Amino acid sequence: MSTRTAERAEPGRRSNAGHNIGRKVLTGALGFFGQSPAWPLLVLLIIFFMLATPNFMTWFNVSNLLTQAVIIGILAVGLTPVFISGAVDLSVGSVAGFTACLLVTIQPYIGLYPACAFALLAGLSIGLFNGLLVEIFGLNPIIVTLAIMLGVRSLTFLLFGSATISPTDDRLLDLVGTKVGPFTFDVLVFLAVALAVGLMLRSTVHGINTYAIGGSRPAAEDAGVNVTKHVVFNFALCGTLAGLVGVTLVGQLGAAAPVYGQGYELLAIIAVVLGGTKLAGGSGTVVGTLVATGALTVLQNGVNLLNVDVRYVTIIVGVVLVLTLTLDRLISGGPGSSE
Amino acid sequence: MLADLKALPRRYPVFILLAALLLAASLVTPAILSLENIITAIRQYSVVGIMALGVTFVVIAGRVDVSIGSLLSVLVVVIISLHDKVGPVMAMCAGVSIAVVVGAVNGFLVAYLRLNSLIVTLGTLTALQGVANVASAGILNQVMEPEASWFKVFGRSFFLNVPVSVWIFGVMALVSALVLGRTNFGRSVRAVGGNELASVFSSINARATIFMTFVIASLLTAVAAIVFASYAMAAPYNSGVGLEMTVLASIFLGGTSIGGGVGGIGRTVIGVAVLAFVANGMILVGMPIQAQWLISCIIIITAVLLDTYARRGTILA
Amino acid sequence: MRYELLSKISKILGAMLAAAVLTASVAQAEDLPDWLQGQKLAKPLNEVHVGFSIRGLLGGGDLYTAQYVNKVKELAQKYGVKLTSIDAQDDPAKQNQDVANLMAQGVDVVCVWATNAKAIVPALKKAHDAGFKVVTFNAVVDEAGQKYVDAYVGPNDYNQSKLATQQMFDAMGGKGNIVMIRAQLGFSPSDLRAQAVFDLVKANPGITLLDTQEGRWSQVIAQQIMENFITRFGNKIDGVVGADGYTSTGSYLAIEAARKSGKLDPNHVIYFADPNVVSTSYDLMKEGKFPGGSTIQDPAREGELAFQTAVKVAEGIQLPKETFLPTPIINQSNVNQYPRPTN
Repeated sequence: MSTRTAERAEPGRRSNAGHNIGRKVLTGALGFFGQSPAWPLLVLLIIFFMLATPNFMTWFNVSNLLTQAVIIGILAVGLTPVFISGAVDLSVGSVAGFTACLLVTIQPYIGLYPACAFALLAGLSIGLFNGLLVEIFGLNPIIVTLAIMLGVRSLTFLLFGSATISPTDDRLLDLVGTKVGPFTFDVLVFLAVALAVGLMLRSTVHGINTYAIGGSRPAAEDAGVNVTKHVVFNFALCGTLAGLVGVTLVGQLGAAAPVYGQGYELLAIIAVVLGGTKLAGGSGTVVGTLVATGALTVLQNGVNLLNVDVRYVTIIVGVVLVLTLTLDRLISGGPGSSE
Repeated sequence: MLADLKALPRRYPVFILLAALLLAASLVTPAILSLENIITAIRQYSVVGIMALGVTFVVIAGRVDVSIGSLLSVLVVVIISLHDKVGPVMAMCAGVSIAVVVGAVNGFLVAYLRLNSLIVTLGTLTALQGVANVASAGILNQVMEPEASWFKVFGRSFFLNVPVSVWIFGVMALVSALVLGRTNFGRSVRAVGGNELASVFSSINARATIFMTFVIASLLTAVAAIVFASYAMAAPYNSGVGLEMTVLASIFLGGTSIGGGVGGIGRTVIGVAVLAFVANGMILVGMPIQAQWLISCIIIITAVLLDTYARRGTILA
Repeated sequence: MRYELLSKISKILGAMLAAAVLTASVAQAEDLPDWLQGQKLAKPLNEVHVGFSIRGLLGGGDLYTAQYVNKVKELAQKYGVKLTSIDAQDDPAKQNQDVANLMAQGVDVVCVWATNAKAIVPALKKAHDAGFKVVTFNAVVDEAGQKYVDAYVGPNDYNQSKLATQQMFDAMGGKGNIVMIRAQLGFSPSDLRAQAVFDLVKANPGITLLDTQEGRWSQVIAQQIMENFITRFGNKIDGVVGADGYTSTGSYLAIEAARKSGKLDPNHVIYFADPNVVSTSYDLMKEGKFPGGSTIQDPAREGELAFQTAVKVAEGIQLPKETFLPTPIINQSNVNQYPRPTN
């Protein structure tokens, strides 16, 4: 998908432009859809729920769906470049909780918007720390970010206590809830972030290098790529976006509790991998991640609307996940190690 | 033999860390070094330890298994609720059978369908926890006369003053070490983890090997479930929630990496011991609840750094 | 002759039919359960749709919640009321979404068992502003959210904990060392219960709180924590305050084992207190092994009250702003007056 073929106009034709654009769009679209197992899942789920309950396809519910996708979605988008480069980050949930509490704690002292910036900075720092530990000392990212996940959560409780804190300035709550057309502000931010990260991966040198590093680290090093710089950057970006999620949580809930974000990392990881990004690195797209996030959100939302017994919901989610991956593997066949 | 012992600290720097921690803690609470407490600490982590032994096989072969926690929840519910109805033997058989089935499913999906093990076992984790919820039907399943049943021997009895569960952990560790170190199967596991393509060329059935590691992990989880059920004689539906993180942490703490064929049972046992003493020690020393995870975080990172240094000779990558 | 017989039969049949119809209509009126008697209903029961956002079954090993929800479901089925219940898995952000999902289904009343008293407020506001009736259960919501709530039904966790712990302090003669095994930080009932204990300790200078650890409503975890407490404090411990009956049971098991192995002096009395008696701690009380006290918080009763309140609010019946669940004290001296809890 990333190879660029030179275009030559056929003799006798004034320009191939229209022809080629059409073909490109079609090939692009097919390649696009084929990359991630989440597309058919998403479409199937939407059709299923549409038929199953009239409450699904209402403006109100669609608006809910979008808002519900924001939290896990931003985390998953932030994780995607990290995964593509061959690493993981398990600490994102804890970082979101930490930054949420940080925001409301310092907001009375330095004002709302500076506090938001500070929260993002905190997320960035933690991500940076993760990246440095992984790159400079060559530690396994799973264990490092697992430890950081525990440590940050603990720090959150230690620094901010166990009680839920409310900000003294409610403007964030109002801001997040403001509607622009059919979308609330947080959904717009989510889409903007996804667009930015997607463009970064596709069109910047950093993005191309990220894929290369994930594909084969030694090859990338031999080719002269500064692997450390790129990997650390992705971790820092991931941390910053986790910080953004913390800010969003405060905006959606009007308060911050140290338990925020527990378990989110697993959901985000499911979204990333379901979206076609391999755990081993080297491939994946933000679009895939978005589609998978959408599929998971639709599944949760639809199952709630159908009033499925709470206890069966988890079974359904687990089975759907495994089935989707199995079907995808069976259909697209192909060897290739699963790691 | 002596040379081996001398090499121990260099090869297992985490050992030194553990010793240092215990020494420091004993200054605050001398009771921590009492034989009784050491045994208590290990007993409290014997369930985690037994599970970690099984997952070690999976990790050395280059995969992960995070479904073991939920599997434990399901097995404990099954064993306890069946105990009063069909007797402990049948209950245990039921538990073991379910474990084998789950292990086989995981193994099949990862080894033969070549799906990503983290995601597959995440899916199994989610599904199994739901099953545990449904199976427990919202009531506390209990064994009504715990002291009257011989089943209590696994979790509540002592043999030569050491709890039976610690014995079980020890025996399982020994058996696992032997299997990993001295059988052909064990060698295949390392080969597959080290270089899967090459192992296939040496006519090792990589797929069957990976499949077996998942079955082993589930089987050992069944053993852990029996110990747990015997100890608690009651089954809340979430006994195993979160345990997979502790199990993975102890494996990595010990120095085993995912794939690479490196690692071993001994390392896992040390990792389990470190976590056991950290948890035990923190309560004894009087750490506030909130600080416990922070301490664990620092210890894990320090341990991994030390181990990397020992293996590589330098701390920088 | 035949005609007379026939007309007699038809008269009798007619009378029977009339009687049947009369009885049916009377029965209809009496089909109204006694808690709805004499009330004007906005719509028939089987057209009522109750929406329930539960804090979490998967939260912290909470069988109480399971029993509560089972009762609500049972009653909904009995009266033909449509019930939608969603589990927030103790995640405040998810509960926010769950309330929105209930609204999307057009329920007649939004019932919320909040996992976080403050974070639930925007969701309540949204529901209220959209015209939905809102009822909160079990967990009290923050001051700022009270104006969006039409009714609250539930226990008063702070008072319950105070009642239970006071019994223990009285039994101890106001002197001694205690340890506390509480449930998770950040969950209102747990925080309120713990706060009551902290306040009581402050008010009783003879009592010292040695340490507090998190037990997450689990008997097994409580047992392990108690073992470690015993190693650390030994015979200094005079009392254990638990989050609930499971916690007390777990502590008891640890204490018993320690007494058998000689770590604890068997003649040293250790008192228990928890705000939530369960089947196992009830048994201990009956056997005289539970000096101290507890309170009864019956999940089935609470579920029943919750259901009735929800239906009443849906039907437009006025209710007091707050209805507290009675939580009588229970201890070794009055245990025989009460039935064994089912949870």
